[in-house]
Amino acid sequence: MKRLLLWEPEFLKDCTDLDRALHVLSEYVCRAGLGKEASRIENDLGSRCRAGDVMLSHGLVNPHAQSSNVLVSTMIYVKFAKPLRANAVYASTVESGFSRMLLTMLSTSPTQEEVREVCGWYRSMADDEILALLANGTQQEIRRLLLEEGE
Amino acid sequence: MIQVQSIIDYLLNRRDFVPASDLAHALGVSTRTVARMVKQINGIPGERPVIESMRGKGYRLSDSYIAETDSFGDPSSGSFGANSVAPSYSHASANITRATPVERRDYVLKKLLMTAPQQFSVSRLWDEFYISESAVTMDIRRLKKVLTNYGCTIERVGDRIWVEGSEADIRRAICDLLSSTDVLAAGRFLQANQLVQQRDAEFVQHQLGHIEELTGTTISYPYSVNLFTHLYILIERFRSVGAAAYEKQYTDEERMELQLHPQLLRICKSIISNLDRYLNTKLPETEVYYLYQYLTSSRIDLALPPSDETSQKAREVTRYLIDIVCSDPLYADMNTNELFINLSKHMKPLLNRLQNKIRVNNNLLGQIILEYPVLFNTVKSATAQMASQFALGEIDDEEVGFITVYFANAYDTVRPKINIIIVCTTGLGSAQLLRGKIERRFSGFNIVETVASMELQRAMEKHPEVDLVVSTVGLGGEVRVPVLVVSAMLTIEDQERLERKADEIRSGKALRVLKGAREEFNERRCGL
Repeated sequence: MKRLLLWEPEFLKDCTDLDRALHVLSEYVCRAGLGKEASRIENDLGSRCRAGDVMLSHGLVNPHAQSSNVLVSTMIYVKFAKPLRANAVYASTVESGFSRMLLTMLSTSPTQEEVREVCGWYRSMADDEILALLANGTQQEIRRLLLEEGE
Repeated sequence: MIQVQSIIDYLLNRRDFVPASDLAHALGVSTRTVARMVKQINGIPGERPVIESMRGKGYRLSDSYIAETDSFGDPSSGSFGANSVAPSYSHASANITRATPVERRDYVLKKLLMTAPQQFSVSRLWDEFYISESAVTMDIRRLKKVLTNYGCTIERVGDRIWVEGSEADIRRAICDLLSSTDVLAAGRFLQANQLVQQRDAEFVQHQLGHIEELTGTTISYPYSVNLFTHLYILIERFRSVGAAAYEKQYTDEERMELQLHPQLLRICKSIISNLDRYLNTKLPETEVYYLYQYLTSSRIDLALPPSDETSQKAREVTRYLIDIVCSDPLYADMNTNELFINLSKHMKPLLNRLQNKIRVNNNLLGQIILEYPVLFNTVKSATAQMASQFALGEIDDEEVGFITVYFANAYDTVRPKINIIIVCTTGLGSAQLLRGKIERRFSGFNIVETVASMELQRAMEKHPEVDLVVSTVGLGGEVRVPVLVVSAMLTIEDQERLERKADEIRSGKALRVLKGAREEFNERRCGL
């Protein structure tokens, strides 16, 4: 499973809301060869965000989807330079003012290894200390966490 | 150097002037030597002295020294001066000017109580808050009301204000209104010298260790906190008001009570004797009784046959309480034998605490209520009935929380686990996170499976024993069991809803079992 860390990247600096962020990130994913048809990926992620609460912690949102448009199962941790607001459609499921995102995309046929990895990652977030790091940690701390969880 | 330190130590325990002859006798030197040592300590003439002297009265540590130093300086240099400025009484908190009314009243109350019956200027006491006269009057009125509950009063004559009350009532108010960390912080009103505060706290901690050695047992929370607070306040109050403020002899009743546990009495005498040496004084014998009350209100299991009358009452009260709680069908299957043994041991010191109006803090109360909301309310209602039946006085939530834990232990061993399926869109993401959180925080659930929302029906067919579905997304279609939609964060509100739902399900199960048992009994009866 691919793990990426985007820390206040330039290409996201103009994003002010979740919709825009999902749009830009879906395109990024496709440019990187991790997915195809960016609009469908964007739609899948947006649907999930509307279907139920996707906050992992205050300030940390978790859009995620399993989709046939995902070519490589991927986890992307994003730290935005400025807090983003949640669009009206996400009013009951996303808190405005989030500045961090854990974007998870699974292919429709993940390998056993990928299943084990993603389950293990989400289970590890039940630990308050790990979740606190994800919500507030420095770039170094997040990188270390992503790498350690990957090993 | 030792003698120089001894003078300061001795004077730290006294607020008034000490005659030279007393000081000389205590240190085993002549009065001339005392005079020479004081001169040495005070250093250069003209500078602010460390020790004040007054003809006909004797010596005492200067207020400015006590307020402004936080160390004893360097004896070898031959001079003692302020090394660094510690917070004085009037600037105890950096943010005090921005205090809310509650914080302001709290601050003033602590100051008045810890130093009672020391008088303060009203204007100077409230000066730092920059509030109006009417606000001050309102504060005083509110504080009076609070202290009435403890048999204490606030007296005001002109610009002077102070707290009046018996030493026992003042200490009770302090113990009730301050937690142990508050006590240490509020101790600065009496003793701004942090080194002395630290030394006092260490001494008290050492006494607790000594009690544990002598009793051969560990003093557990919250009794350790209570004992610490009691002894620490005793020291700081003695330094403030001296023993004369509360000279008192035992009553006959108290004397008889002290005979119930001779070993405990010996231990109390030993501890108070240590305090006498530490404070260079002879404390009133009633201090032995006060300490005795605290020890008998703690769970210290000595290998002594307890008084039959006390045990009998504890047993009756325990039995009564268990009967009421277990009359609820939800708790009917508890193992009451073991519960009775454990709870009656807790009940005996509880009855002592109620009698002596000793409160305990329960830092776990919030968690207990969160984990067992229904049980807590049941126990609370039952203890209220118990208190009424046995004329015990009010039993507060802190005590109810402790009692609840005993029932919860008994209940957990028999309470049926609720079988749950956890759902999210994939079954691999937030469902796993929820699984981890539920496993960590709840003991009453059995997680049967985690599935994707589209696989729920298949999972329900495979597991007919499932009682509840917990999901991070809304679910369409009919589900034969209750469904709870929660956030992956599993907020406090989510946790409460989950516990309530689980208790509802258990109640339903218990009632169905009861109904089934009744129907079976009726069938058999008809068949006879």
